[in-house]
Amino acid sequence: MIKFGDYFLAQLKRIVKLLPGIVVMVVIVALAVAGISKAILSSDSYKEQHMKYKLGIVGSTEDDMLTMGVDLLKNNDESRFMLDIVRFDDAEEANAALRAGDISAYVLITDEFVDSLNALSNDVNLEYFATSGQRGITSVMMDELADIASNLVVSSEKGLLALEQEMKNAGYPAEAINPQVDRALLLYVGVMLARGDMVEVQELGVSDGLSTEEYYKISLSLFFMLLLTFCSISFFLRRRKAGYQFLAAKGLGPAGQVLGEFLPYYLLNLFCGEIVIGYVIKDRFNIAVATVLFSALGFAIFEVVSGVINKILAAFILYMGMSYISGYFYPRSFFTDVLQVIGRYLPTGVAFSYMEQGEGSLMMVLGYTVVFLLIAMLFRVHRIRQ
Amino acid sequence: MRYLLLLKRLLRKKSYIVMLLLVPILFFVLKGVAQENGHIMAVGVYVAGEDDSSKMLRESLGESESSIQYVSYESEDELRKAVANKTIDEGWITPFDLDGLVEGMAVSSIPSEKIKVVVRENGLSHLLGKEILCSKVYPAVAKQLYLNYAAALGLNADDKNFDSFGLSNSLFEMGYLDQEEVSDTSLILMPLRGILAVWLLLCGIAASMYYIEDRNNKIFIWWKTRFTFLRDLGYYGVVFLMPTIITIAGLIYSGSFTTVLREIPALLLYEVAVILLAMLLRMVLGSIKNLGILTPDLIIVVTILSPVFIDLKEARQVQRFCPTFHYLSSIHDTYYLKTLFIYTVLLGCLVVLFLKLPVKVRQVFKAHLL
Repeated sequence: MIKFGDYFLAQLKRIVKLLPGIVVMVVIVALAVAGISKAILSSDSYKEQHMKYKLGIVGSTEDDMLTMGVDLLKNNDESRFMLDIVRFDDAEEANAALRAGDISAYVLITDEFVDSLNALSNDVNLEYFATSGQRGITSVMMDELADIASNLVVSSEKGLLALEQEMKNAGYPAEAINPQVDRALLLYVGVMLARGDMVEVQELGVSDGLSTEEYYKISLSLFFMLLLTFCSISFFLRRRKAGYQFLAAKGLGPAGQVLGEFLPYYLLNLFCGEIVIGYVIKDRFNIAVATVLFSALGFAIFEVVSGVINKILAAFILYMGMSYISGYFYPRSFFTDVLQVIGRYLPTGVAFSYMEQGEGSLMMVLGYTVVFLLIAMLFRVHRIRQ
Repeated sequence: MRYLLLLKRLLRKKSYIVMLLLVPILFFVLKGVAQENGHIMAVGVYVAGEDDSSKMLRESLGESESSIQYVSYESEDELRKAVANKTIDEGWITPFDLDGLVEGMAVSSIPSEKIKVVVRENGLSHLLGKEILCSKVYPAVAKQLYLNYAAALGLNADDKNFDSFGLSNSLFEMGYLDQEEVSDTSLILMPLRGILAVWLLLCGIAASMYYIEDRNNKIFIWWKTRFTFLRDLGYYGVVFLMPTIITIAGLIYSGSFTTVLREIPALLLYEVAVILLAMLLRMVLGSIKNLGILTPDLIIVVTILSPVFIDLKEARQVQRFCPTFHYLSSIHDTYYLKTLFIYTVLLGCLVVLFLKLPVKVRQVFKAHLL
């Protein structure tokens, strides 16, 4: 007869034996998450809150109009609070800066475009480059900025063209029209620069919720805790069906086996999590509850899926997919309404709600934990009976 | 013939089939829920008035096809609550007399009643929102300025003349460094290419595990050759056959596929790099257990160093050690196709060097490394 307590102690000893290897993996994961924290805190979704975009402008330095335009943008326009303008002499230089990550995007201003703008005909488009790879958030942000600039310029052009047309219809000579159009242009530039006067910003405060910084601190801590469950994969390797059948024959059923293995696994994850989050990152989150949920999830995946590579693959896809949809990398508003709801009710979303709101989501966390452990038990029953 | 037999054997492996099926399942699930495009920001709008400018703003927001989601609210209180409880990122409240504001702006006076932008916390997002809002109201101001100016000259101007100029509204267009046309991938599906690339890396590790299993089962006694490197390359190539087909199908299905001339060379080069990396890891680590223990860390590090979800621009020099970074960046920039090629050649040299090292030296190396 094997008792639950004996089995639990045996598993605890086994996991302690594996501890040095696991600690090495935890250190690597901690470093990687530290990297991602740095990336997110300087990423575009976060920059959106705290940092400026660096926008490169490529065009001839001898062009006075362009130099004046860049100076206006840098010193007088409202966009200076959002954009840092960096001037480049040629596209190669800007390409190198974009590849090195020194700028978010660059705009290539050609002579043809300047001529087309002077002639008030929009037949030449201006190209901007935001990425070497597939489109990302930066590209989308740049699309928005391009739309803003287009709206301002095109509406002003329409006004100038309409005025020119109206004056021509009224029989004004060309030498009388041009000065009036130039004067109107100056008025348009003035209104464009003063456009911020239309708006006043009212700040409600974040007393009833999280600030952006707190949001990312929680999401990244949770992401780290999720990855921690990955680090003890060696605990799930080289396990034999015959061993389970032997234990069952000796009176330790599937429930006892699963709990006897789950508890040391959970304690290990909690120990590593507390050390890294509590003492290294120094965040005072209560991670015990979220860790129980993630440990149960990891345990269920590693129990259900067979084969080392498939265990890793299944856990990788589920962890990354769930973290993504639950808004660990981007704000939740990035997703459609349906995905936001799904993300909130996924284990990763429930853990986030618990960290954010506390007791309200405790039942959901515990409910998920029980479900995952039951799934693991069902598969253990299946293995024993096979 | 031997490679065909290997393929048949692989297709009978349960673990191989599960590995092949997991990613398409992810594709279908994500594609299913990503019918609607994602949004970078949700903005609540309460347009209080019924004047011309208010109508124009309403119309402009209704027609908007941007990555900002506009949600209409019936009252100011409702909108403020939505901002406070984070249903929306920010709210815009226009005054009853938006025409008055527009007229004031057109004569360069500071309006007494402004449009309110309600935010939870101050940050750059409200600046972007503010800029978008200004650009939506600006056409009405531009029209009013024209009408005022024309009236001052004694001209009988009207709205229709202003609206009759059908100028293109998009002055700017996004380009890629390789001059290819931009394909509009859904925001939500953007990380799929990265996930596929990491999955291919996992396939490489799996191939190494199958290889070790076959070597332990003495399969290679029946497959002796002088060119071990080429035989091994062929072995891994067979394992990669199905994942390659799935990757290409996945890219086409998700709308991320660009052109055959760009995708196929980049994918094949990346696969060779991944195969060489997997071979190197197999030779260094030697056992399935060691590979299994290392793999989670490897894929976590690769996912973070490559622009799958986030581009870690600050660590560009470290990113260059990761084949996935070169592959993902090479899709629209031939520069990275060249760096991927150089990376693959260097890795190939390392593998050949390692193969040529006498067994004893390798054992000493392993003993010191592990």
